[in-house]
Amino acid sequence: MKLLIGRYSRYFLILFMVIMVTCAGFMQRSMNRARADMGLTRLQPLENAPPVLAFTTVALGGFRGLISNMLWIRATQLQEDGKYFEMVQLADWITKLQPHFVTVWVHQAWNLAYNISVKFPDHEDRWLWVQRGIELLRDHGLKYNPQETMIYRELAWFFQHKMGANLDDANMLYKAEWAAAWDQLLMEGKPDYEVLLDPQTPEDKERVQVMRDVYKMDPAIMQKVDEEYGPFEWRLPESHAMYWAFLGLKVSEREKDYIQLRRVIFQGMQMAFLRGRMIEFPVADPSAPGEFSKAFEFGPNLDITEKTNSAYEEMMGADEKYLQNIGTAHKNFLRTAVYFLYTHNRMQESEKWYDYVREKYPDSINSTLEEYVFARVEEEFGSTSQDRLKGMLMGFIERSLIDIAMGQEEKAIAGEMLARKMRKRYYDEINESQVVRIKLPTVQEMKIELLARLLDPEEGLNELMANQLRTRLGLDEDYDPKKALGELRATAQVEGPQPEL
Amino acid sequence: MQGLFAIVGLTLKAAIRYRVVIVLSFLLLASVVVLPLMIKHDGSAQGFTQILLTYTLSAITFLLGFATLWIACGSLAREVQECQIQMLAVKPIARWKIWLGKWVGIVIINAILLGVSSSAVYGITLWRAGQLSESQQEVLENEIFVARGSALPDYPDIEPYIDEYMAERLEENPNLVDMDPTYVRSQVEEQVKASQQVVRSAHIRRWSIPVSSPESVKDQPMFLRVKFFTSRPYDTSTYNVLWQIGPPETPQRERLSMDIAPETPIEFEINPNLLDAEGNLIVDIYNDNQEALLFPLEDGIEVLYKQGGFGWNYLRGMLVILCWMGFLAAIGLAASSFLSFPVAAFVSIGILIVGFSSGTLSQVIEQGGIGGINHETGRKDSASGLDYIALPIAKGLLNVINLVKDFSPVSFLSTGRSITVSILFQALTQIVLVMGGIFAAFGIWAFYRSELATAQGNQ
Repeated sequence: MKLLIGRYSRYFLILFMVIMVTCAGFMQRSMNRARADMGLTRLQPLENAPPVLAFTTVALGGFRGLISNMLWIRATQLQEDGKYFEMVQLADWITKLQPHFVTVWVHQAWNLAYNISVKFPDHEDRWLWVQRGIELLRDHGLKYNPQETMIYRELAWFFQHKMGANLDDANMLYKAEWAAAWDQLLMEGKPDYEVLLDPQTPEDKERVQVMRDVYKMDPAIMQKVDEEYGPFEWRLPESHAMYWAFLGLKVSEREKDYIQLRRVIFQGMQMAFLRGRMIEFPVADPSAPGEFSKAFEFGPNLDITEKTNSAYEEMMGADEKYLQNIGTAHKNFLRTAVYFLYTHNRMQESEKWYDYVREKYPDSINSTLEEYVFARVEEEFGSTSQDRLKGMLMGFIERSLIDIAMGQEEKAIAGEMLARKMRKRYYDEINESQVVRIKLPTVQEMKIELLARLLDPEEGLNELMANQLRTRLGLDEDYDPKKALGELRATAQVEGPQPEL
Repeated sequence: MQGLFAIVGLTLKAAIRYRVVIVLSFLLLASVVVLPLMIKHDGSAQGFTQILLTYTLSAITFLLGFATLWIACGSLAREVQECQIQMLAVKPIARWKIWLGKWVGIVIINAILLGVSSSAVYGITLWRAGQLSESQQEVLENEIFVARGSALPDYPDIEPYIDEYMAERLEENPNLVDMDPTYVRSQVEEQVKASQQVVRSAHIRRWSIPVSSPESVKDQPMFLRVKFFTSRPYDTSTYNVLWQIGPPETPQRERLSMDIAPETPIEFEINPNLLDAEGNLIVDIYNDNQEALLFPLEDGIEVLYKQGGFGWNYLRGMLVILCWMGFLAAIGLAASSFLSFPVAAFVSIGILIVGFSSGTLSQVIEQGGIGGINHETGRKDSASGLDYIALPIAKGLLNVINLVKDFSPVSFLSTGRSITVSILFQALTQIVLVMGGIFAAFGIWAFYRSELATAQGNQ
């Protein structure tokens, strides 16, 4: 017997060990429950974590902070030395060692998208880093902290500010890359929710899969965002800022932080109003005659005036601390809306908002609608805000084209001349180094952009007006404004900018 | 020499018998294969190759270094402890030969393991690069799979200017005589330096950078590496500058307009064949900003150019790592010459920790003492008694540590920098001959003095 036990003692011990570990596993569950019930666990257990991360967070215990500090020091040192290739890995380790520490996620993502990206003179390189910052928050930060308002807010901010605003010289590349990626996913630039919510063909299923897996976006939520605040142009980063802020509001538990997400929404609405319309056109490739690629321009999205106004008013109700500031912003938005709608020949809407702003803010406009718009022209004449000026120029040129269609050629010429003068003045005001970053399209380019819309049978002028415009401008029946714009751009690329005046 | 070789052979046999070589080979190869699958990178081919080289070579260095210390401590201390050394000591062979034979044996084991694992890294890196598009391969060829030399501008000696300026200042303001002369001189020095470093708003500065072998860089891509500061600390904005590179008033002069960020080095490619007749690269920068930009004299601007191929550079880098292993073997053997295995291992690791603490030592020197600094100046206002002891020790230790740590083959390889033959010889001299020699001398001396036949604790 002794011999038998001696021979098989090793196997008995292994069996005993397995039984003990299994029992400990069962015990652990009840212990965890007891810890939670008694309030002994300060942090929630890590969910959705891969085995390696789950193991390291448990096994390292208190040493996690120490290791994280060492990694942080290394990251800082490497950054000072200009060695960025380890940053994504270090950020991944640091955040995973402290997965519930929201500021760590936010800091690391900010570092990648903002601090490191600008260290690269090449804009393509910058885009890689902006993407890595977004991915860190969206793909990992939210996975471990799905209810953290700050992460939603930061993610929305990256879209709205880093990609959407024009403070980074590479902003146009970010927008173009994003637009190109989403152009592949959306049919004709607009989401067809019937298809996206119930894809039938393999291609549609794949597109939805990419939206969900790569961009972590749900078409059902996109639809809700559109219904509540849109319709939006989903190829623009601002729309994605709205998406993440909207989602944050729906799932976050920290009500005290809601205000930050609401701010993102009303600021996003404001930006979408100013330049939330995307005009795509083909660009001829000078090196390959006959070949075209897609390019984009931006214009105001006047269709969301009503909803932008609602977002402001909602924000004013929610953010009492900054009520006065938001009120001032709201007043300015309404004044701009009146002006933009007028210059875009949407007279009825302009009058409606004119009445509204005078009623809501009696001191806002103390003149007739025409007098106000004229005064605003004078005021904007010296504006160096790229978006505002572009919106205004587009408005003048659109008005001028409609005047041509209506046979009022003198008025049309005056309008176009004014647009040209304003553009020239803008270029005189900005300094040489800003020309690339905040450049304006030429009047000719804007004119062709607008022709594309005005001659569109669905969205543009009625058939009679469109035909009159074609005739008076001497355009052929098969004239394609998008193609013309592409050719114009290609010529400008080869020969340099064309003189305006 | 026969005795020495015999010991070397015994050490190698022992390493194979104890399966050290097999286990280590497996570990090293596993790390080389597994690491590339796990690491995350910035998404660019360069980024991936850089992190691949850095992490795999660092892992190899770490594993080999740890194993070297372990083997070195074990091979001598255990033999003494288990009385096996007596079998050798009674043979007609000098103790220094026993000690040196073990060291050579350990270095040979390291050389074999390093050779196998680094060849695997080399092969994997090149194989993965081969999968990339031609344009990306070209980028790797120019920036990483290359040995790039470096050229800095010729700055005039500023000492005479400082003397002259100092004399002028003292003449203008006699009250300066009452101030600390070192402080006044450092201030004057900074002013003189500033005149060579600062590019004022809407101004142009020109650098002339002599490239040592102009013929060798003909038709080869070159890179400009720049680093600048502004008056704002932790500045995250970007600045518009216009570079004009190449001989002035010639058609090949290159104009590059870019917005660049301060505080960290930025590297960009410039056209080949931009050197003038004297082999100088003329670089002009126009500062199109409101702020002045400061390009430090030490690393403000640097030209990187192709000096050789990646293969030989890689080999030289591996030899520098082998020098480190030789040094670690010397530390381990020296410790185990007079200590038992656990104590020797503890002492060796302690020495390494002090070595890794060079940052702390530098900080002590920079701050002028230990603890209690003035946060306005970043230095101690007055030195304590302890500082008078700590400072010289820190300076001495740092000088010694830097003899070994001043080489960074992994960093050089991952950034395509040239590890020249002179760097390799310098590493061999400083790390193996000087530092390793000191430990070897001490170890051999201790080994001669140790009583090998003393009854051991485990008997």
